[in-house]
Amino acid sequence: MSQQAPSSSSDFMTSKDVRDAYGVDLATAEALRGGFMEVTRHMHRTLQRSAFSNVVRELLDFGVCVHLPSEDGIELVAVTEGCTHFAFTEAHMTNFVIDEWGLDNLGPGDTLICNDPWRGAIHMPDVNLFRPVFWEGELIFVLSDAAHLLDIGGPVPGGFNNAARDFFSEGLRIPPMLIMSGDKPVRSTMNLILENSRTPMQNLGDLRALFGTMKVGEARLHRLLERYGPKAVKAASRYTLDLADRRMRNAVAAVPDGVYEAEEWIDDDGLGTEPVRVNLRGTVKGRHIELDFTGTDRQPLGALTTCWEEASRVLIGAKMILDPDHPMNAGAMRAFDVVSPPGTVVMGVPPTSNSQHAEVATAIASLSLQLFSKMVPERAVGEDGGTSNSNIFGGIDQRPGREGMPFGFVVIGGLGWGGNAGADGISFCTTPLFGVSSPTFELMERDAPMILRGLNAQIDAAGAGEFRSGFQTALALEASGPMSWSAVFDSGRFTRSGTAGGGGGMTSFGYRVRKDEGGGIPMSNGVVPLDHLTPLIGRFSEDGGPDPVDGEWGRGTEHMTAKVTNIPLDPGDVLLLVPASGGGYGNPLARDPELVRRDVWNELVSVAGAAANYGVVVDPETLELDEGATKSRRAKLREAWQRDGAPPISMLRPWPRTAEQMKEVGA
Amino acid sequence: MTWVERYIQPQPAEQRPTIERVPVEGAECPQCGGKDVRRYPVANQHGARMAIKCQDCLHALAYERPGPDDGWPAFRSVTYDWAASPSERSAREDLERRKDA
Repeated sequence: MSQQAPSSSSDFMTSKDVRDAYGVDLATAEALRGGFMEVTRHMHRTLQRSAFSNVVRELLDFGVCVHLPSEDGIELVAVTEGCTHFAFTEAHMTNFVIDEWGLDNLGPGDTLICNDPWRGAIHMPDVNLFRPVFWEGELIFVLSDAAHLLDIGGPVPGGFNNAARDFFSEGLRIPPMLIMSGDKPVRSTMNLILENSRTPMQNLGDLRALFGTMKVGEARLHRLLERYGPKAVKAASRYTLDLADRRMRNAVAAVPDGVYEAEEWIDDDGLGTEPVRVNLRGTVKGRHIELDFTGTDRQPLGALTTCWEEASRVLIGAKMILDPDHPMNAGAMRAFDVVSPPGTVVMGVPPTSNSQHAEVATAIASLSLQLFSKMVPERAVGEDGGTSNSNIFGGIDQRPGREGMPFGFVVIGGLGWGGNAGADGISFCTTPLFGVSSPTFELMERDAPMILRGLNAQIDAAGAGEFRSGFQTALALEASGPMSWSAVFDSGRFTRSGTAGGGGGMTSFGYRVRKDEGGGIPMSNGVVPLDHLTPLIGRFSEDGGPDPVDGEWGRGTEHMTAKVTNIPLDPGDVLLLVPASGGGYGNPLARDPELVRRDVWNELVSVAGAAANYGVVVDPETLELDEGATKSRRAKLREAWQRDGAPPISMLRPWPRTAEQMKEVGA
Repeated sequence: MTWVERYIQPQPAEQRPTIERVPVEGAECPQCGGKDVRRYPVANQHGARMAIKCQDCLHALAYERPGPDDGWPAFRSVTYDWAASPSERSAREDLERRKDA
């Protein structure tokens, strides 16, 4: 197994190279490389189509992988589209679990389950299954699949207990256990999981979907083994890993040797009010990079901790910036060592809680993107909104025909991604580290007593730049029955910065919404007038408007944090939830004025926002560009920004107080 | 650190915890000839490992599986090196019986 850098500076291997090194011809090696990915695609489709919960079937919060064992350890050979971070974490977790259980103790039809964050799981609701694949009595591969179960017990439905101080207050911790033995479900393990959950039906459905997914993966691998033989299949696995290694090492070699630093701040841990610092140093030497989290704050007393997974998830920046085109596998991880001091917020020690793991994850994704953007400025990417924006609703349904049925539902609103050197950031997406989808709201309204009241792009909120960030979703939801709401938001205090002279984006915020007497809500382009709003989470100005610049954190809110747990909602209660946007790329004054005018026409940017953030003057009546006035305004802004600092943080100014004022400010 | 201390650990006293990079006496880097070779915990493509690395050029002389005294990873089960029970390896036993037959 290659531990040291391949010597070639070419990204590819010749037919002779492949034959000499692996004993198979290049065409066979490439066919099998594609075959391994195709195995995971079959697994992906199986799991998506057969899972019960919305988290798996709609949000795609799962991962499926093929791994190759060797004397040195186990390496992830193939993974497919799904929730991105499993492409990193499954590599480590498979090693933890199989190392502890022992390959020699596994037989055909065995499947292990584990959800332990100290053995590499992302958090306890994510159950991870591992199944050996035998061929003619020999163990050739290990398959893994992982999915977020709706509920895994503990005091808070859905498991995001922001008030937890330890994992005992979080849910059921499952060490490596057999859940299938000789292809039969292990009843004691099944019962342990199903009897400690509020959603046993969905959990059983999802577990059976995970079992079936493994069977499909095993059958597809058997087809490859049958057709090509185990010797060629194993050789092609090594080729697949080495090719990714070679490409990543070449990308690393192109980075100037040196030490690079980045830092980020997380709002708080939900218990205290202190921001938490995460720090990353990257030392580049030749074809190797050491990433070191030293300088990161210790684990706080609250649930803002991760227990291992940042040791692999931190490579998201490397993959996105150094070698974004090649399929991910563990070969692309060989160029890196990660140093992560135990006791830090990214390597919490037991019994800490990691209920807020997602907010650490998004901060580390921003940190990693920032660090690798410094290494390769021409491929720099502005930071995304930097929050998971996870909303978990749960309760007992009281709707006719569903009386007494427990429900759980997860809603993740989309962020704005940062701009980059060639394009605007994507709108309405979760952080690239997660890559999960928003729910289908028609299914939400079917499966939970909840009604969608509004889903807009938040006007003027994208970080300005030559290439602006994407826009986040402004989401209004109404409870039509009693329920509890838990939420994990970050980027409420600190804006996510732009890059290469781009402006920062809007921070996260939330309100309770008061309906009109007739039940209506005046809402347009993400804006509801202040006379209908009560601050809930975020930074607010004196008049109650969201204000990431001069606003006070928690002013007039029910909570001094954006990480809240078990908030009761009564029928008719409405929430307006807006996560943060990302940062722009490049000076906003260099943006093509026609692109700004189009954003105004599309009601993404107000006329006032175009003038303030881009120096572009648009006639409010005709929506035509005034080129002369734009030139003059840009000259003034260029001078002002050189004198006073960077472009302004993007935000709607002023936030209207009444429905009548909404039109005046362009909302 | 005893096994039970790895189960329940306090919040660190220091605000920004660090790891120790332990000098390896007498070691020399085969790549650059550097004498500053150290052993410390890392994560690589295999997960938790102890790296023996030159601090001048970052060449890895070796990656070792962590031992009981390394305290790495932060948690490890007390049963880690216990033998598997018969019920935990029944499918394997079946396979081996079939092979022997």
